[in-house]
Amino acid sequence: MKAGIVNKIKAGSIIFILAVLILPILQENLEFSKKRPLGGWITIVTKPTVSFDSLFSGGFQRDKEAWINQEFGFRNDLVRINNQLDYWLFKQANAKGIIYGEKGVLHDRLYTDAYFGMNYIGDHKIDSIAQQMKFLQDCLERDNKTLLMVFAAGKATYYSELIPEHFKAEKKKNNYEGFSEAMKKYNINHIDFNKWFLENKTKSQYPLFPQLGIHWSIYGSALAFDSIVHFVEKKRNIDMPDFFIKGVETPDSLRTPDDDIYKAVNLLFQVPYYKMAYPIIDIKKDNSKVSPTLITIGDSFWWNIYNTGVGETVFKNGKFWYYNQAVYPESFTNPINRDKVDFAKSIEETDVIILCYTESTLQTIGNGVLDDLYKYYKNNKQLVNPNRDIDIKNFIEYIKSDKKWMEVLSKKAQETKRPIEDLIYADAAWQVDNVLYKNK
Amino acid sequence: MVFSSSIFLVYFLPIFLLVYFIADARFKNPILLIASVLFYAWGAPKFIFAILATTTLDFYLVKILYNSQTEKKRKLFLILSLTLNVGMLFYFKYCNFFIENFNAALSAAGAHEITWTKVILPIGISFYTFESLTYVVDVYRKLHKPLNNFWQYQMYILLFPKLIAGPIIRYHEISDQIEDRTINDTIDNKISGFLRFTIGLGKKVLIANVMAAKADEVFALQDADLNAASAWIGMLAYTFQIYFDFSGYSDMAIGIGKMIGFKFPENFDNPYTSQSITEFWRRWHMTLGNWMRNYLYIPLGGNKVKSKFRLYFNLWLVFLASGFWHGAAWTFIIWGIYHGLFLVLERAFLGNVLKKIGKIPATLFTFLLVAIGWVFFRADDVSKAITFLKKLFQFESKTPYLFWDHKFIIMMFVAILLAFFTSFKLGEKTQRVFYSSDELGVAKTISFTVLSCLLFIVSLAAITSSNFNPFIYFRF
Repeated sequence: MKAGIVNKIKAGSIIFILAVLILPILQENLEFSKKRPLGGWITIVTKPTVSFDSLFSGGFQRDKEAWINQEFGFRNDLVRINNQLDYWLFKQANAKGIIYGEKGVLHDRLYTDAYFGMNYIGDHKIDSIAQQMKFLQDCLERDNKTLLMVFAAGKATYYSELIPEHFKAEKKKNNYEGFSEAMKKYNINHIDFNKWFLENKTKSQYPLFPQLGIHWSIYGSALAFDSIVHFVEKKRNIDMPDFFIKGVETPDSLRTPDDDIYKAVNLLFQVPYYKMAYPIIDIKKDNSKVSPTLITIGDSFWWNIYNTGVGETVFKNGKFWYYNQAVYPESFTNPINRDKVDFAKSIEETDVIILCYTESTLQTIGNGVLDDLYKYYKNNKQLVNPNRDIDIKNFIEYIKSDKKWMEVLSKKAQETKRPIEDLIYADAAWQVDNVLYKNK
Repeated sequence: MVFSSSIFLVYFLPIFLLVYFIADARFKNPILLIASVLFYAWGAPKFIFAILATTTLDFYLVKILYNSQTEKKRKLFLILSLTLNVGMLFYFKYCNFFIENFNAALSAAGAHEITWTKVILPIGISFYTFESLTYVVDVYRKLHKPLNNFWQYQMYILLFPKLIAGPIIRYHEISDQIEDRTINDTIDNKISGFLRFTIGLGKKVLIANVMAAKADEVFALQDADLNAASAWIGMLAYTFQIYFDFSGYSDMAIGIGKMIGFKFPENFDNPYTSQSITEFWRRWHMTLGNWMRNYLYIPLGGNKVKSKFRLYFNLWLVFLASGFWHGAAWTFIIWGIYHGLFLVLERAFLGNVLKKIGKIPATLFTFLLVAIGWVFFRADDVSKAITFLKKLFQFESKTPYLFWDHKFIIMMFVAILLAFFTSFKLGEKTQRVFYSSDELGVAKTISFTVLSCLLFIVSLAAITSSNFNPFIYFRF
């Protein structure tokens, strides 16, 4: 080849290299290619402002580099390229806790670890919570209110056979198994959709869990809701508005949240997935039917049900206290935290209280609402069959949080050579019997 | 600023190269100097003044030294310059260490400790101080005359491709290139230089960082959780991390240097293929080894000392100094002593043994020795290093809890392949193709361009993604 042509090719190569290097700066300033936002939730870095102090201390440089790393041209595309390569070469998902399971099913470590019992809170604690729930159920029933525990189906239990070998651990008792036993032991109202989904896995006409999402499918949650309505009707001896699935749509694309964890993985190319079914729900309006009021406290699994609007059509004035923190529907327009709500009034006005938790969130069941309900009954209502053990238990917690009280008891334990736990119990029991119950 | 960062790859490097390539030859050195000052000042805004001040002082001290007529006066200014440079290194890098140990001794004796505010270590000080020392010594030894232009001297010290992590470039190796490098300023070198840079970037980001994540995980384990398998994984992970990180950085420095007309010395020559510790030190961090030989070992007498004891002592002392150069901690000193010990043993008898046992056993034995040495380099303190080493040989049936990570396993295989592939002729040939400075044909030009751009993109993608690990939802 002639030297002139060779030199031109070389010059062209240098220009090409420089163009590749300059492209991100050009994209950032000219945006000739549309920026596709990345999925998932992350703390956004704000653009730093420069000052002499921040420049001299190095703080500005640190913040600027973090901002540049988030904002430079084609950055989102590069993230997708990296994630795609990690997926192809290593079957690695670059989103917190997400793992590629067998047959292309995505799992979440929170659920798989919970399934294997890695976050098991123990028989004793579960028993204690269940006792409290039983007590509250009785109190509520006396006021013609219904407490219902809903075990939302968990993907790790449902697709346990598709968890990759290297993410499996020795199977130990988990929170779902513990609470499930405890609900039966104390005869607490509950529906176990974990069990129901497993039993109907091969029988169901449409998928009960999506391949690329962590939540039960919209179809599966609709079936679950139908069971919840039947349960409430039977328990309260009422006839609620008819809720039924009159048909399903099976589009080619997935609807939120059936691809929620997949969106956080941010791949370049769509992975193949099986189609999902989306129920067409019909609710017959009938003034003769009874719509009880509802508060649901739970995790994100209730959203599939809540977003169908059944809180206003099948139930009445349906509220969702998301993790007992954000209050819906109010927070859609004006974010409000549950501690700003008049708790007593909310309980008085509600007929049905549902706790909806999955295998990965059962360790925080209620997120404090059970204690709030207990205080409500202690402060506002006459306790039905006051459970002395629960009151003592609560007082023990109180004593342990009181530094001065603990110092006195520690000293007494040393002097009397008695175990401090015995002394704490004795004090708590005395307080309950002679102060709490005396003042009732 | 580091090479493997978005700000360097997306802003600094493209803008610098564009301006540098377009500029007339008269302006290249000033542009390079300004870029180097900005590069260092970005990461160390306070220390840039210290380095500018000391280099200014050094320049004039060496000028006076060169112009001095008497040997006495020459020696005086040599000592002044050495004191300035070594003094600075000692203050910033070693004062904390000596004060801490002195206070520990005082405390053990029941005396009051000295109050001391810890000094922050300026980045790159070990490298540029050693280069400053080569400048004054090479001028003193009359190996080369000093630079006439103050700004050229500043540029030699602050030259950003090698400022922070080497290679340590002795003054006389580069002095001519500072004034005129048109002979190396070719399109071929720009293309092959960029390839070398991206190979280094890939080594650092795609291999070293993956190894680092696993090494960090293992070395952070509590003693009770650490078992033999995890310890071996951690040790091997760190062994490859340090090699690919350091050699990757050297590749990037050499690559950028090549793009702008400089020929920097090689720093690594497949050290894990060594068949003895002696050979290892001819292949690992070669510029440090050369520096130690020329400015410490030879002045101590080198190989020409009269007794074997003195020879062994000199060797051992040089490696003690090497260890200490790497860091102000007992672990680094022990690491240096460890290598010095094996160097002495090889001189005594071990070298002959290694020659007789065959290439593969000798290579594996040397690799194992080096890997064990890295445990001291990585551990937080001596007791942790010893505990870790004990765990290596306490075999249990317990499965390591942190084992299965596809990416780590695959990249470990890649690391092993790349670390050892030049043991075979095909590997040697392949490396020569990628690292040579021969004129490029059309096929090489296109393939180098495509490969380097792909490596750049994949590496930049990995860098920016390392900070992006989203939750699915906001969690309470």
